[in-house]
Amino acid sequence: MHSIFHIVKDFSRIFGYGNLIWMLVAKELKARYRGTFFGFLWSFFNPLIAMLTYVLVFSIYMKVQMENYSVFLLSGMLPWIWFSSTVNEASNSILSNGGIIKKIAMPMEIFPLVFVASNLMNFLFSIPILLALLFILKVQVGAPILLFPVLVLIQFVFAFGAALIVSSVTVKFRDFIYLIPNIIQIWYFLTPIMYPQTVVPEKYRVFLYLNPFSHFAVSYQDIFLYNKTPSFEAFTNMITVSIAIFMLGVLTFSKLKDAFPEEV
Amino acid sequence: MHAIDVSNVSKRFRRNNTTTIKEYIVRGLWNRRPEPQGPVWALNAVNLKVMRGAAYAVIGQNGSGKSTLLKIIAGIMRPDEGKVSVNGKVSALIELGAGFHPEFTGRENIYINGMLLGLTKKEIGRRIDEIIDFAGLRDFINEPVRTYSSGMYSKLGFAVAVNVDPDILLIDEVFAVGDEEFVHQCKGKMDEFKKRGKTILFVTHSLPTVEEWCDEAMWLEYGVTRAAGSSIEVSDSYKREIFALENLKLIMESEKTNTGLEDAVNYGPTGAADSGAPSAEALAAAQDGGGEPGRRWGSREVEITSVKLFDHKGVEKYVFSTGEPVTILMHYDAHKTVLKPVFGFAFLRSDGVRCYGTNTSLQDISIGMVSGQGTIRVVVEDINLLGGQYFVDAAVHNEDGVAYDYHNQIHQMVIAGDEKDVGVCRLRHRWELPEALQAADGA
Repeated sequence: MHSIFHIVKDFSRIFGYGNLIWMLVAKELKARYRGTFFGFLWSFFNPLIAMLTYVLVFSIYMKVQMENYSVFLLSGMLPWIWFSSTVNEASNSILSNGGIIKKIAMPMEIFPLVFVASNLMNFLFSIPILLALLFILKVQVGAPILLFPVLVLIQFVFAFGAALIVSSVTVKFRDFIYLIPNIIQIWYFLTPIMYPQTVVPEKYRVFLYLNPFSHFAVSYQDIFLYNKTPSFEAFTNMITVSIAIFMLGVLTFSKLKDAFPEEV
Repeated sequence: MHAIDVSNVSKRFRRNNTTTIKEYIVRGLWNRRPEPQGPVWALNAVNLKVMRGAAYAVIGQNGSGKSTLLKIIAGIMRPDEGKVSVNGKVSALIELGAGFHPEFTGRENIYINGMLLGLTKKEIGRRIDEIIDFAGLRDFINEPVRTYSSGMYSKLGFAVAVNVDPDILLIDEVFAVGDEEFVHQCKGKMDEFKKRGKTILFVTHSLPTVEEWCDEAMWLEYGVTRAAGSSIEVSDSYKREIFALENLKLIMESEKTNTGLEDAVNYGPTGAADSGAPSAEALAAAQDGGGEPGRRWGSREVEITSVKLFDHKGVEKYVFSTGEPVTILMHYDAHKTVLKPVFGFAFLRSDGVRCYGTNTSLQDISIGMVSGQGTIRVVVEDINLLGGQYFVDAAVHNEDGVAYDYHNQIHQMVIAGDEKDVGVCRLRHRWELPEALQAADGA
């Protein structure tokens, strides 16, 4: 019943809804800070406040000696915020759009996708703080930074795959609504974002290698802080994992989605 | 060419809607779930073909599966078995304004909703003025829709949905909302649709809509097709069934009422019935003084032990058509000899309006005395009441109107009239038009 051909054909319907997706992304961004005084400036403030806290705790209290720790932190944390917010928000995206899903026939993949895209926009809005910080601290930036769009593209595929998985699985198992934030929290601490991967003892390095997001974090740190092209190994790993997660996402979603109009 | 072709479609009810991880593990991870005892079908091997340009109705009671069928045709749900093919662009009006975001303006919502329904941004741009005017919301279109009344909300939803300009329009009971004017406007739009040769599929409870609007109809019951064919025929057989069920219910209820009469709360006499006023006023008192339904009062020296209705063949029934003969049987039990009793009856509409009432004394029929048990029989030659729910009141009282036993709004009756005339009853009449006018009418 679910041939690969059908799944691909069905999935590709979302391309016909480009305008709607942009409109829903705009709606999401507008709705997010509607009624707040600082409005979308909060996409600057949130990571900035988090960064300042880490700098206070690690650089000042614990006296961890690391050059340009603030840049290091932000270059890993901003893409992490994109990914983690996407997964958190997308996990509820099918359930919260139940009213539409029950009444209008449309490709439901749009709902998780909107959260990938709206958090991508937020991520891009927050990049200027990082650039400003690089400028203030006179960090040398070179050609590797041109790989930024490539990293974003790979991460987009990865995040979309993850969003498809969590949004569909949550409909069937409501426990995931509560499980996901916990997984995200643990995942964050196990990813070299607030510490460099070198502090991880040799025998635990394998966990870093198996953690797909650690390759993203390290690659972003490479291009922003160390003026270095990420390793070939990192790229192969990111691309393979992203495509695998994306395919798993498309399959999971298409297998579960027939039941959505009845189960949401 | 068929616009809609549904063949052998079945849909199973999903019972356990959600699963917790615990339940899943308990059932055995990755094992198939046990089937519920006996399959429960929301739809069972349903076939439906709608010709291009036809207006088709799906009728049936709540839970008959008609909305599920509509959702399957709309592509919202998938059938478990069978095939659906739809030729043309479909727009489904299942809930007006589904997906409206309260914080956004009417204009923004037109775009979002329009695109959800499959329009492109450009197409909406071209139609937006038409949509706003149709909804009559030009002054409010830049306000957030949370400030809209529910009527405005529906109007905007309808305006967007019909402007999708579908080839096939699926409608699920959406005209139940909105004011008279809006309903009128919607019907106008439907007329236009029909004239332009579009296909319309209605899911509805409203039989007049079916008869007026649809060429063909299908009657679903518990997911199975009971009847399909011309809308008038299907609607008629559906109506007959509804009334037969109603009749059965009323027979059972009458049985219960009549056996339960002894236990009926014996309200104190009210108004004129107690004060010994003339009997005509006593009858009126039932409405004015004892307006609460389901009352019984009187001294009970003579009791009315049951009230039953029969048709002209002597079959007990409680659902009649306008103009049918009705026989009322009142059984009484006089516990002692009572001289000159007066028996009366009345028909009251369910809202308490007295449609007709009389008694033996008013009609100069004198009854010498009653003693022991007996039956009074009243034959109403033609019950010319219009369709609706009614009560049959029955009473026995003395010459001065003091009640022995008065049953007020206890016994029920239904008139299954499908006439469109208005009022309480149908007066016999005929139209005598000049020849010239008759000719003009035919042209």
